[in-house]
Amino acid sequence: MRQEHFTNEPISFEHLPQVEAVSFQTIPKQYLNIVYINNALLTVILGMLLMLFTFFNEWIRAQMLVFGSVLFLFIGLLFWMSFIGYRKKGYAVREKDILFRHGIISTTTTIIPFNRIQHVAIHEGFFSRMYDLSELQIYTAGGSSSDLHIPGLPKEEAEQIKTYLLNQISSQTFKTPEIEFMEESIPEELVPDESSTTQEAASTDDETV
Amino acid sequence: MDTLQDIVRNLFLPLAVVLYRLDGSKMVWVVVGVLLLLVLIGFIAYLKYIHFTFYLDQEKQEFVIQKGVITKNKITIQLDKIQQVNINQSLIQKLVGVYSVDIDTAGSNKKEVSIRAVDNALALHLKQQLLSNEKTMLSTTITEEEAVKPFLNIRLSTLFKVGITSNYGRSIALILGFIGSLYGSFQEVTQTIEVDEEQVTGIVNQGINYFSFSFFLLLILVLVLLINLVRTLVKYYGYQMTFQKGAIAIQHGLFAKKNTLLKPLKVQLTIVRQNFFQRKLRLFDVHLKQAAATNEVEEEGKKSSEIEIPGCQPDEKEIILRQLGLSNEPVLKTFLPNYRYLIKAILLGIILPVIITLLVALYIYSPLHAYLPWLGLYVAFVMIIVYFRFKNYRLLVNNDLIMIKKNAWDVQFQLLEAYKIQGITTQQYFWHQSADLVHLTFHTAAGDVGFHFANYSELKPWINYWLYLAERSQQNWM
Repeated sequence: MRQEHFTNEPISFEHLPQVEAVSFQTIPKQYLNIVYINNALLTVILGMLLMLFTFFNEWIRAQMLVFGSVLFLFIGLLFWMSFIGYRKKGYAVREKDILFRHGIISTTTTIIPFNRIQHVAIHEGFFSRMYDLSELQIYTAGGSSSDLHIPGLPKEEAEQIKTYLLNQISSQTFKTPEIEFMEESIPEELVPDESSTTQEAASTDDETV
Repeated sequence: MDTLQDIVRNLFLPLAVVLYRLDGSKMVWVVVGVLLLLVLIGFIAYLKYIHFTFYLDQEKQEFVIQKGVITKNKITIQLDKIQQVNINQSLIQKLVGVYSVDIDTAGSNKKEVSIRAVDNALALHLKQQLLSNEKTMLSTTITEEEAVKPFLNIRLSTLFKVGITSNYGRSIALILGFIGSLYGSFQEVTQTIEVDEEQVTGIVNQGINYFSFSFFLLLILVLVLLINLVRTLVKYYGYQMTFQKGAIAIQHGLFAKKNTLLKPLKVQLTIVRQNFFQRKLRLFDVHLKQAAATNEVEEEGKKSSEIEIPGCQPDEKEIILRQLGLSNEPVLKTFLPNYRYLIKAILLGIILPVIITLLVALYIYSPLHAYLPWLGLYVAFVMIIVYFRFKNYRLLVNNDLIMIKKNAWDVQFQLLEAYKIQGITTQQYFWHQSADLVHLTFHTAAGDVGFHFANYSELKPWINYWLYLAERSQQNWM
């Protein structure tokens, strides 16, 4: 009904391609270095802040040990979390969609069909450029929550995926079946008769208001 | 017109203050100034008017608008990207006998193009031309429109019922906002006019003392009902829904007539709502959501691309859904949430607030002791809500539809055609791994729709199936 050759055979779920069987590709090891560099920078900043406070604040100087250990624990946790976050990250490009998995205490997997992609971008950070890595950004019409940002891809690979995705998007030919579909479902008495007099099209006169 | 409104709105308050402060001798200058301003406004408006043109490019299927006096603006909209055309008439416009036409496209949450002051015939003509992107459709005449019988007419009595049974939350928010702004402007006034503040506050305090608390509550209740009623009647008076050549036309409004035309294909998400009272009255509240730049489906406020059908009977609801292309095939599978849903809800809704209140009462703020018995009431209330939320929460699926039922009071069904999803996200916390649970999110162009605490193994084949539907489909999703 919606398509000219519309079929509606029962589909057996076993024969559908299975998302759960996909093996994810991991992000290259260098990406972890970038994350560590960022963490180290944060550590330095926090450490300097603590130093400043110990210089100027009597009370904090007295509690130096407590603050120091809290900071140490926090940094340790940060690095540990980063490592877990890195290990969880993975992506997979299938024939018709792209998958990205990430998360620290949870595992979040997002699947975006190619024919829903609005545009693709490549982002290179300062540290990423040193390692020749870049972030692949995939945008859909579903708002920011469904946009994919796959970090730490080797630049060439990111470019390759991008080209592939763009090819996939442009090769799709859309039909506009909505009108035929609508007319069939309108109750007959509501359909105005089509053989009415034709009117001059409006495009010719530039209407000024 | 627009310019005038803007400027008047911006200048009104300072002007009023200036007028108040000034003595009579300088009055002449004020009058002269205002007159000059009026002339200037008229001149700018005229310039804007003669530089505003629009036309329809039949060959390229584009609608082109040119505007701007100093900086020229040319807006081109492809016809098939238009998702909604609104024809509105405000009170002032009604007096002059013109309409404004708003054209809504996806991708932006504000109205992209608005044409003010079009006469009736042109407005209807524009509406028809803009929404019929098949060339053959352009040949129909406007007069046919009157011949089409509206299939849904919401009667006054129905509107009355809707008014007193729904949207309590919104009205309460409205009242709170009103009181807030009233208080704010009251303070502003006292500050600018330098009224003896203590005197006024004294009067107000006395006033509050006269009303007892319960009477105040009753007043609020009556006010809520009244505001609801008036709001519903004014907004939806004469609600009519018609099918015209593959599009749904809606018109309503008592003072400001609103006239909307939309293509069913552009509807991304349909929400059917019914609260307890409405169930007894057999009324439904249907919302149609179109592609918008917002994330959260339930986000109120940004309503530019949302259409509400207040109060329709069950059979009318069925017709609307069928018209939108939502199949009414039987449900093939029902997913229920795991009991952990209850654990989370009770933890966050009862245990955590109770512990915090107790801690505060015991260690920080002892006068709170007197109110502790109320905590029992709170717990009972939240328990009931949580229970009903859990009972109602479910995901229903059939061959091409995804339905999520949720909420305790305003029970709603979120209906979504599976092929229109933009993507699927599954989220699994590591402590849910052994229980085989997952949080599922459907990304749609109208926002995210989620179902939490679902059984992952049972869901997997359906995720594959939905992806298959989206990836196979050659149809436009909008």
